[in-house]
Amino acid sequence: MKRIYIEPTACTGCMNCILACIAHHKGVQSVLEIDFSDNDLEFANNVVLNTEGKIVPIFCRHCDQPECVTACMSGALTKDETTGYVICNQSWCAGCFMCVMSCPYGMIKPNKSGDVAIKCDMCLDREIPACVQSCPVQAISLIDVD
Amino acid sequence: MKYLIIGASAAGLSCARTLRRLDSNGEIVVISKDDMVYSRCMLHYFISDDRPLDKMRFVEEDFFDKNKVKWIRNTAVIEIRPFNKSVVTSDGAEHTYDKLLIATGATPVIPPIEGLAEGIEKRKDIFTLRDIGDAIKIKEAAKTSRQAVVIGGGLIGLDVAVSLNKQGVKVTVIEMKDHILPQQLDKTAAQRYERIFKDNGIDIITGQAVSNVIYGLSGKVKGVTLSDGSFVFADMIVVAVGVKPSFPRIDKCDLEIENGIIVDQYQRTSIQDIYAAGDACQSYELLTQRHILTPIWPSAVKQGQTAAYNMAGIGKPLIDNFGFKNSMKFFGLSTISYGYVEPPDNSYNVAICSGPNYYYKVVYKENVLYGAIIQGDISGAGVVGKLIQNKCNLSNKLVRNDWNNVFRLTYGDFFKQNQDGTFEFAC
Repeated sequence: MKRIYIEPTACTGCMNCILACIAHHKGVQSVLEIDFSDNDLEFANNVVLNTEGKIVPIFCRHCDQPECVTACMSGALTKDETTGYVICNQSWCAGCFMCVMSCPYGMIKPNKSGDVAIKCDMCLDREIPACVQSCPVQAISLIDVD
Repeated sequence: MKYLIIGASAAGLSCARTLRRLDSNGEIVVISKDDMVYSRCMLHYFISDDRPLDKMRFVEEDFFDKNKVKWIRNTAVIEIRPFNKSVVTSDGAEHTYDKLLIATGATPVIPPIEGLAEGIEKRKDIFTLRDIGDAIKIKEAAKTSRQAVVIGGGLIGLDVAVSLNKQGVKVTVIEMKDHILPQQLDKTAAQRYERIFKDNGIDIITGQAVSNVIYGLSGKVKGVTLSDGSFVFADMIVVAVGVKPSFPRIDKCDLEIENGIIVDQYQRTSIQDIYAAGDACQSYELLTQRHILTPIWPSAVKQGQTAAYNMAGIGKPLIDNFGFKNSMKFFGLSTISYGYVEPPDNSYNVAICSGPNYYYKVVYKENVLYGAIIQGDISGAGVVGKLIQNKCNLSNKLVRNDWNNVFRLTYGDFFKQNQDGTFEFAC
């Protein structure tokens, strides 16, 4: 499978990755098509400023032993055996948020309406995840892992 | 190799799945009292009509076929015979094993309230909620019920209360402690929920015990009397004061049992080739550093997986059994809590950050977190959980060593990435 490798020192905090993620979840092609007055804009990645003042982009690892999947009591979260990606089937999710309770990196969260969980799906519908494609400084890149 | 698993819930099925991954040829048999696979955590959604029966399962539809697991359903194991390496089922059949997992879960506790036990046995209008059959009965009773009493203001009691409320039943919850959810929340966080419940028409009575169940002349439930002598009308009662481990009789053997079956970090019981996982077992827990019951879903799944490794002969201990975490959501308000929600003694301190829509609290001692309540926006809560689970020293992580900054910590403060892109927790 592929994983998004992070180079925090390269990140300038432009948040293009977050905008790209929003566009992906909205189902639009470009950030220009996002209506920012919408209350339901969703993104599954994050760029934070830590207490040392350093910018750290954080993306779901699609862990080998995903805590979120272990905690999922509805069966909505699964680690796909072929792709290796951890996918949330929102139509099956019961919104108990034991996944949010269990992810040590904070990479799964309630959606805006608080009904179901939302997380990174590696943009399965495209060759390269939207965030990686949109990063202008290569702070994130795709690597192959076993 | 023949693996026998008793129980088809979180621990049992996670064990079966893991066993098949580790041993492609072994024979795997699951025996369960349950006739279908369903998530106990979702039973209240069935009662409230939020989820149909065919959306209650937590594994894929073809789980047993795909994993080549034989499933003997609707069958209770009544006895385990370690000397024969076999179990006896309710139909009189005997099933042998090479390795056995006891994942039989728990049963509801019936408190010693006058008139309650015989009411449960004889009548149709007093219930507990543990299996799908209970949920079906409660849902049916709700159709004709006008007013219900729920005994116990814990997670299950409140879930039932909300689902009955949604079905148009007037509900009163009676909690003995001075606030609801005493195991999961402090008074402040609980009182937010109490207000929301009342706003939505659910009555909450705290600090009162039910002393008596009152029946009418026809034998039907009429209500309950409380410790202060007052009377609450009800035509149905749901008892939800907790659960206790439940497992089959074990023949002439020294199985080490306290509250549940004692297991080591490999999920082994004191009898060779018998393992236990989930609500039925008592295992070493990180926060308390003792062998205790850890009746939460994530623990059951991990224990089932760990048992599978060791049943398959791959020595693997469970090293992160953290039993004190809870997630809840009532009427749209989410809360996650970890560890101690109140300081256990005065050597602990508390930091609180709250506003109209949120309440965040941590309990700490020196530079280590021991508990937290995160109510409102719960995004990123898992980071706090990990800090508590790992007992991370936060001395270098708080700006000006001010504990009010603890709520601003994210994984960005503990970021460490390996070559293969996996994360570690640097603290």
